[in-house]
Amino acid sequence: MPDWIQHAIVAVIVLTCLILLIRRFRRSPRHGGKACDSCPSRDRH
Amino acid sequence: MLAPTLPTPQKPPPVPAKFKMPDLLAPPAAATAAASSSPIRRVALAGNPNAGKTTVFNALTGLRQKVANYPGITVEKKTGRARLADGTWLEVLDLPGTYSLEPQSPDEAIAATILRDQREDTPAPDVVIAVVDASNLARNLFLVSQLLELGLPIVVALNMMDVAERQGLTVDPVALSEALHLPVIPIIGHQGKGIDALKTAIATASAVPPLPAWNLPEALWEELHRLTPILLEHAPGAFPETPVDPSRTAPVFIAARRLLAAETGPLLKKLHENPHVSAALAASLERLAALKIDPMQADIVARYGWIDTLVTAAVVTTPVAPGARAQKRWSERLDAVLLHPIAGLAIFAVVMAGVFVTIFTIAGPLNDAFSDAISWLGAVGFSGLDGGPLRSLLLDGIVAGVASVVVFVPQIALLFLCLGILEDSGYLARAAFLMDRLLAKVGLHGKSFIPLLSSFACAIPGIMATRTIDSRRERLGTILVAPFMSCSARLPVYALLIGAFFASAGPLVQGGLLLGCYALGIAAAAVVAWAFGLRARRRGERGSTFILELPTYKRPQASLVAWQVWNGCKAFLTKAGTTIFCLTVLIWAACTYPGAPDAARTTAADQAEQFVRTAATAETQPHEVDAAIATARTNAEAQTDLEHSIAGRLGHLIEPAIEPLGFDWKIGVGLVGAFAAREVFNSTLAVIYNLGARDADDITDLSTAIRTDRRADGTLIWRPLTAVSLLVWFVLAMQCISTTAVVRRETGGWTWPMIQLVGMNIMAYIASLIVFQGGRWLGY
Repeated sequence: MPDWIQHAIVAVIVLTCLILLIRRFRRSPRHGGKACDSCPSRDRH
Repeated sequence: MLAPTLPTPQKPPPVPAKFKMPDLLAPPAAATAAASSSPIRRVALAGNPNAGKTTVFNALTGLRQKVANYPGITVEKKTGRARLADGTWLEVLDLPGTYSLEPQSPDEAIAATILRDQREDTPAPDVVIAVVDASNLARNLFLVSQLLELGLPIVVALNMMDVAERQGLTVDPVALSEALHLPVIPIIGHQGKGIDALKTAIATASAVPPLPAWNLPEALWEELHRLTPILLEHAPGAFPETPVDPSRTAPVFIAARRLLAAETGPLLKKLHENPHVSAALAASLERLAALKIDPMQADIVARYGWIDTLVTAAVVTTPVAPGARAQKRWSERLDAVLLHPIAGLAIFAVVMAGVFVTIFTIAGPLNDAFSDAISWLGAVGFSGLDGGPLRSLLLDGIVAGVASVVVFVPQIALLFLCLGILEDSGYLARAAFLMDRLLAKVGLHGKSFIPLLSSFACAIPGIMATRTIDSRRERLGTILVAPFMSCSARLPVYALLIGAFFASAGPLVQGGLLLGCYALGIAAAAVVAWAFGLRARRRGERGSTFILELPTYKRPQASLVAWQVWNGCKAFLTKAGTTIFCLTVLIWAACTYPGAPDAARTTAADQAEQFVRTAATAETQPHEVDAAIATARTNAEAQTDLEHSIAGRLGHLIEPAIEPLGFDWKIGVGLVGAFAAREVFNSTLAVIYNLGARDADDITDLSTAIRTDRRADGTLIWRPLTAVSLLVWFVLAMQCISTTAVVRRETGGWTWPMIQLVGMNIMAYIASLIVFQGGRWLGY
């Protein structure tokens, strides 16, 4: 696979992850966001 | 008779169960028609703590909310849906447990404000299900006596009938129902018995129960009769009824009685603010005081007098069967040992040490197997890809990074298994009781134990569980120290470092070190809590009283424990598959780009070649030298690329600050990544070490890589002392953005979370510095 295609795929993956992460952290825990989803005992909330 | 089977779980309609966060200072809601106009009936579960409300909630809705064998698990309302036999749906609210509608703590306030329709975000329920513990009937009926005054239809779910029976108590639901004028449904929540009958009763409940005429002192009645016209005059519209009320149970009488009993609430506050009402109230209280009548006491005595008549009518005490008596004796004997101030604490220490040694003894081999399997899968799965950025991202980034976290699933599973067994057996509630004395010494409260214990899984539910603590100072103290408890996110880091540097010392030492990490966190929490409470103690403030209802000992329920383990592992893997995955990809990008200039790469490769040539002896075969040179050149180029990457530059930038702690720039990058999630420390190192070993075809074993990593001068970067210093850092440092966000919400501002964030990290820095420099000075 040519390098430029690999770089393009990598760029898409990295950008997608960045967007997903920003969205995840921006969601307030108040609305069942990151803090709620990520903790192992979230059902105690 | 109890219904023999559980309802068939059915999928609820699209509105899902959700958590709504409370605003504890919310103003009273305006009269809302939402409850009555809602197409779905809203049902609230109310009851004393540990009466089994969440068990009934789960049985009604088919959900799996956390239940445990101790009070104070539910600190927030939860909603779910239940389907009735006729196909209609109910919205079910599970409220935090409360002993009375006069809240003492924030979680009780949630229940009281919702039931009294004082919340803007939650309309009052259409029906209240009073979950009553049949084995503690009198105490549970006190809340029912207050629920009766809400003017809402009530269904009594008489739970724990099996426990009552074992204690020789036969509760007659029919007699109780007749005495209360309410439907009373006997249930055994955890077996799902009686749930169908409960649903039927909810579906048909519509009548507001009549209020009992309280047996108050005549002087108190006189004062109520004096007050009611004043209330009607100065609060027009609040009370539609006339003061002529032969049963003396109209809302205006209730309000007057609550005012005299110094109860609180928005309406009462408003009435208090009226000068006429306030003056009349003061005069009434003065007259009652002259007669030595305390309205609050009189109210409680009247309620318990009424409760006594109910209990007499409905409960028959039979001699306890010999087996049950023996069990009670056994339970008492066990408590005598487990709650002993010295023996109890020693047993607790041994139990906890056992938990940690078990984690290393059993999980160690499983880790290795996991690690080998992932490495093999990575090598096989991506063997078709030639060397390029995509292969590097997939293999060195995603597989190596995520695997470095996922391999610790056995540890997580074992931790939750051990805690689940201890919790469900009833032992942890005893531990809370034991800890009260110690906690009081450092200015915390017995009620702090459960939040602190929850923090071993994750600080977020722990901090939310502090809502059960009445005193603001004690609550704040608990919130501040909760993140010192080693959460499950730290476990992969501890396991990596202890496993890499102390594997040869055996599981006992490894378990001891792990226990040491947890103990250090607890000790730090104690010191901080003590310092926090110092000013209050100097002012002579005394801690509040701790009352804990000890649950009965029981054999842990396998399904409940298994669910807890599954839930813990699922959350861990979900986090690894989402947050950790995305962060790993970003860290890979930060460690890869922009890369080194060609000149720098060539210079580094030449230097590495020179080093190999110098090191080669006369006996070294030429082909061996050539192979070594090729490897050295490749790795030197990779290292140069890494050092010129964004992460490399950042690492080198912070290196001077962390060097005194024994950390190099790679560890520094890991520490920065760990602020997003602590486990990311492992994945960051895995990415860095895989990128830095470009000659390797498969995934580099992280333990081996950190053990053998050397500086340019050939000295080892990582030593056992470095690992200990890093362990101390991870125990004490505040590295969780989510926790900071929750502390901000629970404390209502940024001051405390900032104090916590900065204070904990300064503490971690100083402690790591002392450990590393002290260790070096001692010759380690």
